Amino acid sequence: MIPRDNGLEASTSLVNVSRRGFVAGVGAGALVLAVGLPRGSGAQQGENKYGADGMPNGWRDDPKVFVALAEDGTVTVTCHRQEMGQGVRTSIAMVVADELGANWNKVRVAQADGDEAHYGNQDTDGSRSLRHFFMPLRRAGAGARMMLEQAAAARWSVPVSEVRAAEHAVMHTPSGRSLGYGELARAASVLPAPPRDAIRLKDPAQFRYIGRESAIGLVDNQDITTGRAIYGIDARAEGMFYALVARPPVYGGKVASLDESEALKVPGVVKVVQIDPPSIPSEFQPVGGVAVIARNTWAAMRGRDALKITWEDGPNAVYSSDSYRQGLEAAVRRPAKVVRNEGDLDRAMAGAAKRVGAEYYIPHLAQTPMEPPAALVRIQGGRCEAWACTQSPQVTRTRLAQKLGLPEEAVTVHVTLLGGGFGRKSKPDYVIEAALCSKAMDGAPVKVTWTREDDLSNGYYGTVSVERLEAGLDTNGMVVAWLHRSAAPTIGALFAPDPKHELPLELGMGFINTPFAVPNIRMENPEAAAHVRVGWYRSVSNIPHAFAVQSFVAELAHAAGRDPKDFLLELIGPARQIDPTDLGDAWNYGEDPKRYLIDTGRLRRVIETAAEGIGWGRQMPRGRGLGIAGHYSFVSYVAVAAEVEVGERGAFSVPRVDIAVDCGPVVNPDRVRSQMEGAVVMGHGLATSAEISFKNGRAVQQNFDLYELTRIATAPREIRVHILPGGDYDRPLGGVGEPGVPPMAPALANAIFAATGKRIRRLPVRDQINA
Amino acid sequence: MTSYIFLAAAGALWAALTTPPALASPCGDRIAALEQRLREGTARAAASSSGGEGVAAAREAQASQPGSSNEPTMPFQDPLREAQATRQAAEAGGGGIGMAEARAALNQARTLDQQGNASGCMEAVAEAERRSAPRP
Repeated sequence: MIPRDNGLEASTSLVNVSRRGFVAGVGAGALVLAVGLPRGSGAQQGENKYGADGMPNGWRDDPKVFVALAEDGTVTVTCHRQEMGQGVRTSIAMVVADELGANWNKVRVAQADGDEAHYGNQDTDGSRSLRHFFMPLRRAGAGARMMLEQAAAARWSVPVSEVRAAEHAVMHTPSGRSLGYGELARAASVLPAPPRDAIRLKDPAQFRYIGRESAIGLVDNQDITTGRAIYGIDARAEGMFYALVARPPVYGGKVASLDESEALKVPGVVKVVQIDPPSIPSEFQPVGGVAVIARNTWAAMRGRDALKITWEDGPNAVYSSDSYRQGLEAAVRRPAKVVRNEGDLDRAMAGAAKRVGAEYYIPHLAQTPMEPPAALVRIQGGRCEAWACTQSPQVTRTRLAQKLGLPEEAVTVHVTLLGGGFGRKSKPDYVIEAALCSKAMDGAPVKVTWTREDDLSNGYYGTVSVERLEAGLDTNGMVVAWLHRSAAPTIGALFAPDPKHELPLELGMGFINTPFAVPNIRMENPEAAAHVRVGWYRSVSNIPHAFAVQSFVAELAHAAGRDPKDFLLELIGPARQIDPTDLGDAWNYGEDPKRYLIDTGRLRRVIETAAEGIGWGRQMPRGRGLGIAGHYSFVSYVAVAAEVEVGERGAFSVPRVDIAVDCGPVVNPDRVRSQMEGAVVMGHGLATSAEISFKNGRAVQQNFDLYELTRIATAPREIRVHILPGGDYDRPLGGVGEPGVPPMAPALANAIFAATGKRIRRLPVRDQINA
Repeated sequence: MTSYIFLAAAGALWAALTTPPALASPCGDRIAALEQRLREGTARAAASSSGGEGVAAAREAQASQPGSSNEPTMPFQDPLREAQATRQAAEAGGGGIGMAEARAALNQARTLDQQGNASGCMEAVAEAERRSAPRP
């Protein structure tokens, strides 16, 4: 734990985001319960590995890794995934506690450091935490419960079949004797963990926390609301320094000349350090620049302002959004690389009774977590220690070790709470900056803080995209031909030199795997070069793909004189299960295509549910309209129905949104609901006002005055979340963190059209209604 | 009633779409032979990619580069294991992109075969085979 107001001391070097978690947890004399089980993998040697099996470092289900029990009965669950507002620390603890038979009031949560050899995969992205770790964590909790039962049976010299653990105690049914978990902790801790195939999981009907609407709030609520929670930006240490970095305004640029003399005159500034530019592709390396290290943040800011730097911009100075957009538009108007082809599109188009075409533009987006990137690093005695709000602590650890020339074992990454992440904090460039600054200060602790301007100027932006769609309708208004071209620079440019096409993971986000019942389909992917760091923004390429596809469906419905919802359901076709590999989808969110089929019945149901929720088909007063969109992403199904009210001058508001989600079995309904609500608000922002554009390689929007997010006054006034029943817990879980975002923008655009007759084909909407 | 009629019609359409055509021609035989390979290769690509955005992007980007050493730019795990994963991705049609392109070509071949265009079909199958081959 790092005290807010005192220095970080050697004896308290463990960061825990929750003070309660630390005080009552592992550090309070808790006993680790078991010997280790081997690293987990459900796949046999030589088989394809999917899901958690296929992730780097796999998964663990070892009680020793995740459960600690103190003699006062306190259970500490170690959370190895990163908390950024999605409630994963709560949900993971719920799963373990339920299987353990623990009393929730005695459960604490400790945050794991980055160590995937110990915990299994820790990259908190891709909406995977519970999807991948629900079953391993159940087994961890159940294994611990069985050890307690075994300890009690031994204490009483009775068969283990006669004892039963529940409600934080083990009871001997025939005699009525009972021992609390704390009383059994020491004896249980020396027992071996049960083998995996002997673990008895709870009957889901007996779940007390999992899937229940309950009064359990976030485990960090108290600390967050009282200001005691520690985020990366809060990290402090004894004798620490503060740094800000002046970075090249153009990606790939570097310092041509530097005069730091005025900066060094600023009181409090102690050093100016150059950071070398990376080679391209730059993956997660810092972009280079000049760091100003000072005794406080304000001095570092003023020192940075006083730097006199001439930048050599490099080739990306040509990057301007207006001309780049024109290039993308030209690209989608020509035939391009075919990535999906069914039937005879050209013949069907030629024979169509009606042809409709449209192009859609989706700009770059910035994740803009409320807490900008920040990290504290110190290097002492041949060891590096970092405190960071990172989504990927193991990746951070590996990069720090490489950069500093240390063995990985000499690097510790403590994870703080994240004040939002949305994909930005998967990339540890800011932690590496802090390490370089610490190294320049002979290992003294240095915290690098990004300002909002830094965040927007040197981000890992969501891609920019032009989507062109054409369709042929027959005389009955049925779609007989479907052409979709998607042009967008790829995330792959972070990792390989100058790739020009979208990768399978991008194609598989609502483009190549569009599950429409159309006999003639062609999908093409033109070239698009990257001129900035393209990264992943919550739900990634699903945003442009869903916006274009779901807007176009409504356009086709209008052209056919049909109700948009009915038309969308017609296009999806009857309920069926599609093997994604049959569509050429070579990603499938990393999941087994036999286990995670695309289920159009589930997609239909969320659309019907959202429509029913908002009262689809009701008479709307003048200036009001309803729009709908449904989208499959992260192996979950989400539909949004939105109501828009447009005023005389084109200003519009959103009185109500109904969002329906089918994410399979639900672990924590409260968090599913909050993720959907958050997705609606985030989707509203990117649809209505958020845009990053570039001029001469430089981001135009530098702060929230120009990069506008949804605020309270403009947020949808009412959001109703409909969680579809997920069925039994043997069914595969879907993602929750990201899939709520993609359908929001097209639902809004479709509602605006219904209200005004104005079709929005370019995001954000801003003042287009009056244009 | 309208919905029922539509669903019935759509169901028939889908059945028509998903029912494999009779493959009596030599080209049809080649299509059938390649079909299963592509399905397996696409599934293998999905497995080698992973569900994390960073891991998937790094592996796929490296695997799709012609002439690449297929050495990972990002060691997300033990470098040898990560290199193996990246090589597997490359072998599965260049990170999987080749599988998508190959399936598109194969479907084109199927259409040409149904239209009686034997030479066009053969060319499309050859293209599919080429696209699905491991990237050098």
